[in-house]
Amino acid sequence: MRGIWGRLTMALCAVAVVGGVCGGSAATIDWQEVTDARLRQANQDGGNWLMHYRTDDGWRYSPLNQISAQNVAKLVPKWHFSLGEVGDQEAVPLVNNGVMIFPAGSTTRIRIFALDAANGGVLWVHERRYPADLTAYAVFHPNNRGVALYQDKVYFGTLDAKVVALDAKTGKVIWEKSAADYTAGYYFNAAPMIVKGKVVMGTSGPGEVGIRGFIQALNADTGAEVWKTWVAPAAGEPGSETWAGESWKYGGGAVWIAGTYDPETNLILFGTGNPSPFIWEVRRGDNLYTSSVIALDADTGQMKWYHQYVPNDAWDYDAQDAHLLINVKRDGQEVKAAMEPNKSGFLWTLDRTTGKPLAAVPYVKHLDWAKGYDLQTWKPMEVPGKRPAMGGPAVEVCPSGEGGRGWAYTTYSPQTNLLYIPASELCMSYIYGAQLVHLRGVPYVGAASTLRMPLDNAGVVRAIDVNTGTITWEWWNKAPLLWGGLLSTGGGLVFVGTWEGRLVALESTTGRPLWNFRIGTPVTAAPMTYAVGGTQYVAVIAGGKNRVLTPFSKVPKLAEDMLKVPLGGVLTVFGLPD
Amino acid sequence: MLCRVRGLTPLSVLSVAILSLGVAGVSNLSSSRADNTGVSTVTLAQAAADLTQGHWLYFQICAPCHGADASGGGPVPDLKTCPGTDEQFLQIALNGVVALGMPAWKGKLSVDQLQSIHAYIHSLPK
Repeated sequence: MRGIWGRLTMALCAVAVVGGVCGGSAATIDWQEVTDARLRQANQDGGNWLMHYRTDDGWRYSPLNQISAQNVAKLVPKWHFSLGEVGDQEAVPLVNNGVMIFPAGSTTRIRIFALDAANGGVLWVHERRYPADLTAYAVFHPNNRGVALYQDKVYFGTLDAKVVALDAKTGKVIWEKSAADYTAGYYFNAAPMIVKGKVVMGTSGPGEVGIRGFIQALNADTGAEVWKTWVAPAAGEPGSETWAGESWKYGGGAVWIAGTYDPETNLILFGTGNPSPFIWEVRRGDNLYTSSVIALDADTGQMKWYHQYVPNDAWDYDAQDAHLLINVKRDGQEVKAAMEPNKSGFLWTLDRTTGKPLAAVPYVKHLDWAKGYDLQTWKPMEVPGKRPAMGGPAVEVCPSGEGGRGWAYTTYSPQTNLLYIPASELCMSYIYGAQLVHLRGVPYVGAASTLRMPLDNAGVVRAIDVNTGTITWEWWNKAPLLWGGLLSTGGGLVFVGTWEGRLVALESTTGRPLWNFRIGTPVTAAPMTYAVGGTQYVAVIAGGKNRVLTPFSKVPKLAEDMLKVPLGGVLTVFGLPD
Repeated sequence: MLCRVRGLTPLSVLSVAILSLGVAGVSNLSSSRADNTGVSTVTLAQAAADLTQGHWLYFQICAPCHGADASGGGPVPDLKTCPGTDEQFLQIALNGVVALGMPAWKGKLSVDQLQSIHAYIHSLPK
């Protein structure tokens, strides 16, 4: 592979800006088209990272092995790039043959950067300003987790609920679509995914603002809607009987992150968020299809199967990790499975062709809301007293609403057959406190929690054998590992970022730390790796997350450690010495 | 920045609330909340109702960031102790400080609702 500079022709400055402030530079790029074939065969394209999870199966595994357990101790930063924002940076860059593209968002604007992946040179910048009347949770979660690439376009969602397509060569807008009413509380944090000519993404916001979550597919060429599937069924539709009265109208079910896609079945698997409000008593019933996994036909959006992890979720136990598509062995047979470490503390294994549950085993030590799952009904055996009552006292419950695993990404290495989970051991004192009134665009939660840290460390990477379910090793960190996530590589490595501001490389077979680098601001995005010109790099965005500091400032064992690391916004790219 | 209720000290708000609970049904005694901002005189019962409404609204709308006890944390201010006038509170609550993470509530909450939230915050123990 040759460097981007050999394929660049500098052009007149003409930054693509819609309704925003002009600035930056532009270049003409010799762009390699991102075809369906390239996306579906991304697992064979080690040098590139074309999709949010790199491959359809959600593994976040790269076969690159130039940087390995043997030489990672020599890893050095090659270049940095300031994001120009403070905090709330959670994006994973994408790389297509030497061009790196990623978003950097804030409460007032979002910018999409295209850089030379070899040296950080700016190719183009797209900036758009947000309106001043963003709703509370959009301001609360101003992060953008990534873009999608298809053919010659770059796609992303915004806090004012738009989906935008840019020209990948220039950053100019090709189309944009208002996908929902942002003043009602809708916005987009997740990276879109591309399936067969469609831009597919779910909406953030509903679980906390009392609106209905949905997943939408747009024509990648035009932005026209192809299908839209609501998470909460409307009156009269199957599943509507699981909502009391008209509570489905405000039922929540956000979709916080990208799904995974199985070309064999043509199904897209999405985890869905908690129902709204948090107070279960005002929405009695199972509240389908919240806190669930749903499998949608990629062509029609029709739901083919579902499984609900937490019926009538009372604790904010969203299903907000990718469902990793892994073939596992059960009783000597290979099973096409999907695995998800649920926020509720259980690691789920399902048959990904039918949705039939195969196992639900705890992956955190502190889990007391349920004794386990009934193996006939696959419903949780809830522990009495763990559901707060409206007007009642606080209850102590584990894991916390932040989850046994937050939204941080899990990774799977086919080299080791290990699933690496960024887990957190946290509990909470949890109370329902509001006589709620549903107001448009206004928080509709009604619960509050105080976090508790039962051990001296809260964060732990757990490596779990996908065939046996046994924990092979653990690596502990003081701050929780709720944000960002993990990367595994063919070099026998697992990379993990910490709130303390370090990027750490662990040996994938043992968990032994082999290298770390102090970036100096919390690592709240997942690392990725790519190659340009035959040279492998590891990249990670860091910056922290404003929202996190308030609850964790009340955790005595963590407050000082977490508050003393300043928020920021920086992309750091590492490589071996020249 | 935010916290002082114009024409009514935090202590007097709390006193009004407590007193009104003890004289339920007495609705004609007035506190001295009226001033030249146009905020009308309120009754003891109305003050208690404001606090109840303010409590629920606070928990629903403000607690997700400022905490159930309004003490904030990290970059989020402690609403119980920060200085300020009622006008300043309304200015920030209505227009937000979006760049710092405070949303604008204009068009979503009325001035009365915001004032009830402010009164509730003042009723909290420091």
